[in-house]
Amino acid sequence: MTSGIESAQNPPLIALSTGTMDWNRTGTWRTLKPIFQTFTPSCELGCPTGGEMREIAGLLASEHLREAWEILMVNNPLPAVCGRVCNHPCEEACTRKELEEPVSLRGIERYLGDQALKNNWQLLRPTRLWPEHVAIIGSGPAGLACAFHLCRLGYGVTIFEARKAPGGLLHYGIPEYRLPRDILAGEISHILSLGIELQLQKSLGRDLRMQDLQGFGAIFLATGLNRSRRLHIPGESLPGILSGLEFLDSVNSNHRPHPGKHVVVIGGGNTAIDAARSALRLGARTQVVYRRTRKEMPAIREEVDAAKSEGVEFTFLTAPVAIEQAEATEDGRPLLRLHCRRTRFGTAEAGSRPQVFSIPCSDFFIDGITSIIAAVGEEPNLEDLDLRRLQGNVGKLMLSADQESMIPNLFVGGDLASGAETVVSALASGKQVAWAIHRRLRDQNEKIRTETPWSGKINSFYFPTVPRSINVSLSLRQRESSFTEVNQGFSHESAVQESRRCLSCGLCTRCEICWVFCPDRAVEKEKDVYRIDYEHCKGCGICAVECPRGVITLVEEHVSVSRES
Amino acid sequence: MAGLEAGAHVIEGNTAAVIAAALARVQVIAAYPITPSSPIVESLSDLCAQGKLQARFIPVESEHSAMAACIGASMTGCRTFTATSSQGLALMHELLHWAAGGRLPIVLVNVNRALAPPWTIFCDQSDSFSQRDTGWIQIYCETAQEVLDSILQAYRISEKILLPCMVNMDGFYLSHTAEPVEVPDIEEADRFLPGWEPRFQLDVAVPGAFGGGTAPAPYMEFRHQLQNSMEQAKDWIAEVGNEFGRQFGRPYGLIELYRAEPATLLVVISGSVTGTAREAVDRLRDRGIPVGLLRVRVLRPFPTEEVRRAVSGVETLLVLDRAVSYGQGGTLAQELKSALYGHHRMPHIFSGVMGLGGAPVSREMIEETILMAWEKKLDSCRSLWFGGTK
Repeated sequence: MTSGIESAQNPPLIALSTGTMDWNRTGTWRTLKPIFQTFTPSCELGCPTGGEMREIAGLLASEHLREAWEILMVNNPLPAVCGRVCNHPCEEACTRKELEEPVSLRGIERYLGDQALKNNWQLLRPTRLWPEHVAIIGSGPAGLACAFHLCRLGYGVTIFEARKAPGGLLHYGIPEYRLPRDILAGEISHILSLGIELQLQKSLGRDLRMQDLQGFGAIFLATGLNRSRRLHIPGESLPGILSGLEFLDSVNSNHRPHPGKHVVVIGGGNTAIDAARSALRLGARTQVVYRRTRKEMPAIREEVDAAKSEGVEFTFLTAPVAIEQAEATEDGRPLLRLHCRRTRFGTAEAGSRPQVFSIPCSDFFIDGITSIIAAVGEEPNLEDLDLRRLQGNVGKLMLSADQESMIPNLFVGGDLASGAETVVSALASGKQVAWAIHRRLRDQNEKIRTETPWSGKINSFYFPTVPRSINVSLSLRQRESSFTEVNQGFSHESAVQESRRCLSCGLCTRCEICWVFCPDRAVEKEKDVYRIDYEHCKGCGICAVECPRGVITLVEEHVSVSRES
Repeated sequence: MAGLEAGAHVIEGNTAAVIAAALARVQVIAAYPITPSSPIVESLSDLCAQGKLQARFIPVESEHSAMAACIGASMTGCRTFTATSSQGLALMHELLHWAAGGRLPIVLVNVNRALAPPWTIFCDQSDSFSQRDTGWIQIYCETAQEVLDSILQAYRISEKILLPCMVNMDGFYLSHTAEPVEVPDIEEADRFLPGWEPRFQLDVAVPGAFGGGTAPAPYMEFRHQLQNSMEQAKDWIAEVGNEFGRQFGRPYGLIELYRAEPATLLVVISGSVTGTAREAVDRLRDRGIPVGLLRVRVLRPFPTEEVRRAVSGVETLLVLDRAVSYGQGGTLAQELKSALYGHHRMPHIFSGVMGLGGAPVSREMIEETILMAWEKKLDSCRSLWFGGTK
């Protein structure tokens, strides 16, 4: 056959490449570009103190217990306390919730906090860097956190506490079965041992005036909410009626009260549940009356569950109308009768809880009550503090974004500033104020950490379900009359196992999935990081789709095109 | 499995294909079942599972993947086999090009079935005829025996020429019809078809990639070699067919002539319907009409030279097609016209289209059409469609 083609001497039958295709800069084809990023995970965003639970879980998973604890302490000086009483917003935000139960981050925190106490791990005593001394009024979680962070920032700190023991609400508001005294005392003494002065029985307004504090560089006011709200119903001053805080205070003191055989607790917050479970342990039949339902209760979910299993009765959608004294008596004390009315929900406005209305002619009575505990919230006692001038005309404290009051260098935090919140929000408030004071005193534009919130996108294909580890609990029988701690926490094995359930959202764990899937071999594994070889990455996006932890983002490629005329 | 033993058996075309694959000692099978070729795939899968066939069966999720897996396997130097039909073959289309350009001696059995829509599982040859430009050698069988024999020959042809080979049999007429087949002894088969020693193959010890990016000029060089190989294949196919005849007593060529010497009119045809046409030819010969038959056994490479020799002195060709190139006409007729154009004694070429989608083709229909061609009553520009519901 004639042919115009001149064949080579020994032409191969098929093209054979023995070199690489690296010469082909396929990266120029790209319109989208994958980038590796480390994101702030949802648990950390959920925690008011910004606890780095992902990193902590990672270290615990590889049995680096002490390192994990040290990272825990960066944001929260009370891990053993918080690990018991926190309402764990981190767990509410945990991504594993999309698959099954969230990681028990609180259990992990508690385990590490307990290990520190058991092994007497200590942080290094910080060096005093600055001449200023800061006065902190109140030794609750906000005051302690502020003192801790200021001390670590290099300031001198003195805490003034009105009562005989430090801890504020942690000490007199939370019963022992939830927070044993030695745990609280252990963590407080560790904080104080960093070089913080504590003056007990120094109450602002009683033992101490504002003028006395003039020598301090700054003042942090964190006295909490120490006055129980009133019910505002007829008969609430009768004997046998206590506020939730009063009752818990006496429970937590050494002489336990005798609330009698039938206790009714009014309210749905943590104080109400703590009071109810305490009353139960003191031998009473206990009934909680709440005007909303189980779902709306502000109390920590697990605590309500525990109360229920221990035998606390709940009467929902019920509001107290009046308290009357019955003629019958018990142990010489007249019995009480609670006049109640059923309630119903109104329509909810966006973003708020629905209003509650009482239903006319739905009245009923609870008879034979020995004690009524009103736990419908707490409020500040600014009169005693002589600080009414800090209030604006709407009755709320006027504070800057840094929680500084109208009096320069006087900062306010914790529940006193925010209303009834949680232990963790008080800790966060103390931390925030510590940094605000530092900025104020050093006049620095101290960098505030910026977060890159994580998209929340995981590739669930890569995560098999693993059941949540179970805490050991005291038996119901043992709880009947004892204030021994109910939740016994994790064993070492369950803590480590639980930490391994963490998905490490938004953090590259060098799992190799992108490297395996990249069709252009454009993912380069270096010692500590992965890199994209942009000379060859075509921007197909397979890595971003496959990445189990949503660490890879596709961004638009910006190409400048120069056009020759 | 019946028929694996040497000797005469009454078996279906699909079974003949399975036996041939086993006799060829294929090493890798990757296939996806589709009617009417499914029994081939199922039986081979069974044989592999039972350990009766020392081959790796790769189950895949589509015919595209089946051919891709065959390509990969063949590149490593394995004797590779697959089977498909119709839509399945169409789905392989892209990779058919790849297998040929990659010079891989894969053998594919295509059980001819019409393409949808309308949906049908019955026979015509448009599925494989429309793949004639992919660089595959194509053989069309008339009997189940020829299926078995052609598969063994296909490996001999392909492994020398380094082009893949498609062995075609008509769906149901061959695939599901039992007829006597002589199964050769395995030692005889081995003697005819020894193991393949590839000239190039993937080897982890010598890393490299086949068929990567090539500049325009070398591309043309590679493709020119492919064309040359197709040309060379003609002699080799004939030689292999003769050798097979010497060893087994059944010789094969690129075309087959029946009652052609001398003939004034030749029916040109392929596939299983050839048998019916033979009867029509016999009947007309009995009536004294000098007609003969030319069966095209190999469509690619097209046996231009043999066809030209065969038609010398023939006045009229009637090409009967079971496939259409829409907008032109019968596919085989085009091939004949193309092969004979410029021939010093160019015969009249008439085209008939029949039997699409399994439409029945009777001896009477063929006779009638031959007579019309004999009397030159057909339009030389248009194919005559016959059969169907009319």
